[in-house]
Amino acid sequence: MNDKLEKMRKEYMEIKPSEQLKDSIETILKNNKHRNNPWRKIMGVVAGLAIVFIVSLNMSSVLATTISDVPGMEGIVKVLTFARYEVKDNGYQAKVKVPKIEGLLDQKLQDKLNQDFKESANTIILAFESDMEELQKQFPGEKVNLGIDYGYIVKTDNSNTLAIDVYMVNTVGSSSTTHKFYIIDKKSQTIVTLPSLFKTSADYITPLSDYIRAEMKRQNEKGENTYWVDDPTFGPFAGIKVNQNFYINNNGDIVICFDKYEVAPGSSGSPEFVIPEEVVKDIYN
Amino acid sequence: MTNQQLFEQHIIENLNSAYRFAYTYTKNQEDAEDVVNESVVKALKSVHSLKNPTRLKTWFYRIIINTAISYIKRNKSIVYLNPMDMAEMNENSEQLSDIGLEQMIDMLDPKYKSIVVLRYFEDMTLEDIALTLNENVSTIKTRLYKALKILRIEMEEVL
Repeated sequence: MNDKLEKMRKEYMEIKPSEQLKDSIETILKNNKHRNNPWRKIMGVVAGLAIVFIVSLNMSSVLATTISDVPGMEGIVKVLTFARYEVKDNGYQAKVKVPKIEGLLDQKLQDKLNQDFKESANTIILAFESDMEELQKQFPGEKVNLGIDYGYIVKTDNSNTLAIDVYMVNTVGSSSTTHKFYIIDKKSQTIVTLPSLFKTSADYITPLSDYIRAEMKRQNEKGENTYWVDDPTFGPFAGIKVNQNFYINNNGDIVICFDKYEVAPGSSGSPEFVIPEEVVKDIYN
Repeated sequence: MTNQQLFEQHIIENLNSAYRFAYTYTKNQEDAEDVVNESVVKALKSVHSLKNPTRLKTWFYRIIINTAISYIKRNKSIVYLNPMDMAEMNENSEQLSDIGLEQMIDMLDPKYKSIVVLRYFEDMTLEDIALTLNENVSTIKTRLYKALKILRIEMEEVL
């Protein structure tokens, strides 16, 4: 065979799947043995026809009450669900929960954050609807797996800190999850960014990255996880970014967060690392 | 042996080759694995209606191609060409002697690519390729010739 083709052939033969592929195929074959149950077919059709469409702004009157209007409750910072959007139709699924912050004394900051939340949610809803329309044109009447789940989790809510994790799960194909964290220092009424936690011109990237890398290795060795620390395909762990996702937990510790697939395969979800005080005590602001 | 059992045996024995083939379409591991998973599910659904079990291999490759193509359309993932790859491709023909698998995959349209892959890497006969792609043998030969021309590989060296 020609040299070029021989070279390409060699490269082709090097292409190998992960261990998970064999497992997932075996699972599929095993589950298939239980098929051929006539009831399953009927259930599938019924589920596909269900369309649930809820759009509500300013939900129920209970939630619409602004907490800070209640005397004595000014300055109590809370997070509410501002709006919900849901679609469930023949494999197309969307679940969107939009947060709203109330009670911040800094009205401008509060408005900016709430505007941010609304705009991100709107962008995602529009993108989803346009994808759905496009796919329905290409595959009319067929079940298509297109899903998004956008919502928020309050990670920390104590007298010092309010930390919200706004996540987005994209369930097309292999699902991916991204996060955006909002951390509010209740005492100073400001948004906390990662660099702001440390003394100016202090290098926080190195000590944090080193700690995380060592922790990844430790967990990998113990078989607790499979981080890409020195992976042949995904390369070494490159350390954290200047504005790496993080939040402050209830103990006041920094927790560094990675998106799904950022530093590990999908099976590891969105990994989080609690940074012990000793690692940052010298450079902490 | 039922069709289903034949297929189960086939996929277990040929999992890596199904994966490699899907990879030439998706160009990344996760998507290729998803495509293989989906193809297996689809195959299991319709394997009982396969009339000629000896055609199992070509039939399954066909499913992989269709699944890969619709998967890519659904995901609309944008693949950014590394600027170095682009520079390499734009240079004059002498440089193309260094063409590797990745460049080949990027350069060729799916209908040419699958013929090259099935013929030279999966060792399929032209007749079997014709069956897999649902074309006649002379069309396959013409496309193969065109593909090799694009890759600047002289036909005499390979046939």
